Amino acid sequence: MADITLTAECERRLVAVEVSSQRTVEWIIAVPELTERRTRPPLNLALVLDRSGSMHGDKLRFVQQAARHVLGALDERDRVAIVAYDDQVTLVAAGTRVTDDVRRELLRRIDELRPGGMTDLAGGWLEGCRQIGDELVEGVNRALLLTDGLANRGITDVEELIHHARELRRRGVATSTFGVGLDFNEQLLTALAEQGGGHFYYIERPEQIPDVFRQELGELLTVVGREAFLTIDVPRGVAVEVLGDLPHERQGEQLRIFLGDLAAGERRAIYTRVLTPPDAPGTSVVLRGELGYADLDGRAISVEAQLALTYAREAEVLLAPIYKELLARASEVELATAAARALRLERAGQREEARSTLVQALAAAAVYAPAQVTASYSELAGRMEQGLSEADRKQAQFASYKTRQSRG
Amino acid sequence: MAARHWDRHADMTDTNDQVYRIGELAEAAGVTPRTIRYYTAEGLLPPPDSRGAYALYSADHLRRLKLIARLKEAYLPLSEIRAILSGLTPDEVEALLAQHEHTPAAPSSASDYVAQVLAERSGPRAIAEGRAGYTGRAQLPSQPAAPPLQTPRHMVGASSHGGDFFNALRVGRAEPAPSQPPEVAQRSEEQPGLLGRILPRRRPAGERREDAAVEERWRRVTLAPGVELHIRDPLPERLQERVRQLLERAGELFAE
Repeated sequence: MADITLTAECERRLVAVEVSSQRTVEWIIAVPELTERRTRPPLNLALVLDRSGSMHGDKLRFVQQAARHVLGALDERDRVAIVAYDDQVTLVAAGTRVTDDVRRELLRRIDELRPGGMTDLAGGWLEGCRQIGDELVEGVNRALLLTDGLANRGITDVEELIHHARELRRRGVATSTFGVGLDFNEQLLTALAEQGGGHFYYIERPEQIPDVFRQELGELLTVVGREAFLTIDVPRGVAVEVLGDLPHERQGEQLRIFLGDLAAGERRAIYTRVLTPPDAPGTSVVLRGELGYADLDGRAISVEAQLALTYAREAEVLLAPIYKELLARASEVELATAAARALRLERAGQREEARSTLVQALAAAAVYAPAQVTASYSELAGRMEQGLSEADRKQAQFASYKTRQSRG
Repeated sequence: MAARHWDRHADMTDTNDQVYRIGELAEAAGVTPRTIRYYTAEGLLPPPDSRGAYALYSADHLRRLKLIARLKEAYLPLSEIRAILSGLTPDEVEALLAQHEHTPAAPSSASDYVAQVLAERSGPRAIAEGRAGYTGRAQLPSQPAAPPLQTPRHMVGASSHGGDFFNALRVGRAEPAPSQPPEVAQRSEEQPGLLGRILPRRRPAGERREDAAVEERWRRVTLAPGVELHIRDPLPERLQERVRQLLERAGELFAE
């Protein structure tokens, strides 16, 4: 199979001698499509399913259908645990290898699921993570957490849950989240997925549940690079920032952005803003990026890309052509980031702050962002002033999440 | 409040009246002098005694620096760390630090981590294996028995909220787990799990450039090709609205 590639580009390769210059760097990770048949990663999953009272009817029925689909795709290579939660956490099945006999038995137990009471989302999720953690596989270890409601039993503090997502991910267990309908907390589920190294999905209608699970499962089965991260060496005097509020850390002269697993055919764009100090003409500053990940055998692989910014007189720099499409893409990510912050404020009841956060970002992005994009965010900002409906909140949050992730 | 504690600090007779010059303090705390000056300017550290030829720092400064490092590990932003530290007397700083040093490192496996979180939560676990619909849950065919759910788990402290103030800081867990020998404790800077295996090793402290990320940050807004506006973040509130108007106006001006 061809290799995963990393490339770097920015809007203008020249930077000014006299004053500091700002550049937007686009790092593109391209994962080739699968060509021949190849071994897939073993999966170690926990299906963490909400069966609180509100799941009654269609929702639970479609969840059962989705769970059956997941089981159908797994075999002896894989482990699965099933956790159902309402105010109680029920271990429907502890983590187990999926032999044919086990599959039959699990299908039976899925069919027996009945809706119950309140929502101990945290309890169910943590139990699922523990089942996965009991026997990590050299593959994909991930809890799939589905809910249609607010965590109102057990640990309900959003900050605390996000902290646990990060800690569990560091210990090898990722989390993807599936929010169904209008009553879940989209801020919580987005953050759990983001800090948990998985994906977030907003599922508007119950009948979409099976398809969305199929999509996630399809990606898990074609994962070729695990726990990817982009490390950027920050040269002395240069400042680098990540756009999109992606999980990252700084260590001395390095900035590291955590990307989660990479699936075949996936393409990701990461945007960084770079500020160069004044320097002598003819010199250059080199940005080095390294994409690291583990292959299916657990070997550490790394791929490098470099971008040299060359110093020239400001007058000359200003004459160089600008790669406007790149700036347009970066502005979209910036707007999505501002929208995510605004949505957080809006949900907290700070409508005016929410609106003004988005309006400021719009004014700043106006030069390069595509007109239809700014129009739709302006419209969102306007609606924020009145307060958003739950459906608007979810849709806007999901759209912002997808844009910030720049996955395609 | 902060000022009051620091005044007390100034005329406090510390039991260990060790004093440090900035370089010595930096070395003892494993940070750079620049970081110390930065923290002082940002109000995270009380100012040094600068009556003599050299600015002199105390054991309290050292402890505060260590505590800041701990809090940073717990992912607290500097603003929050400042809020916490400014409310602490030197004695409280010492107590907090001592308590933390006796705290075992967080467990390295995901399962142990979850067990610890749930144990700290409320004691008896609410896992119901035999609820309606699941009574007489059959053992899975050809599978070893599911691992027992260790209940009730070891109870730690009271509730995780509003318990002792150390827990409230989210620094770590108060009760040592006697079963965990210190030699297996995870070094906090190492990532457990797959990430830990594939991440490059950290550079030695001396090579780090501290706090590049927390210096003042200028946002540059391109108004048009060749025209930029520089805004320092965070912008004081009184200016935000005016800057917003400026940007809107500029957007109209440069629209074509």
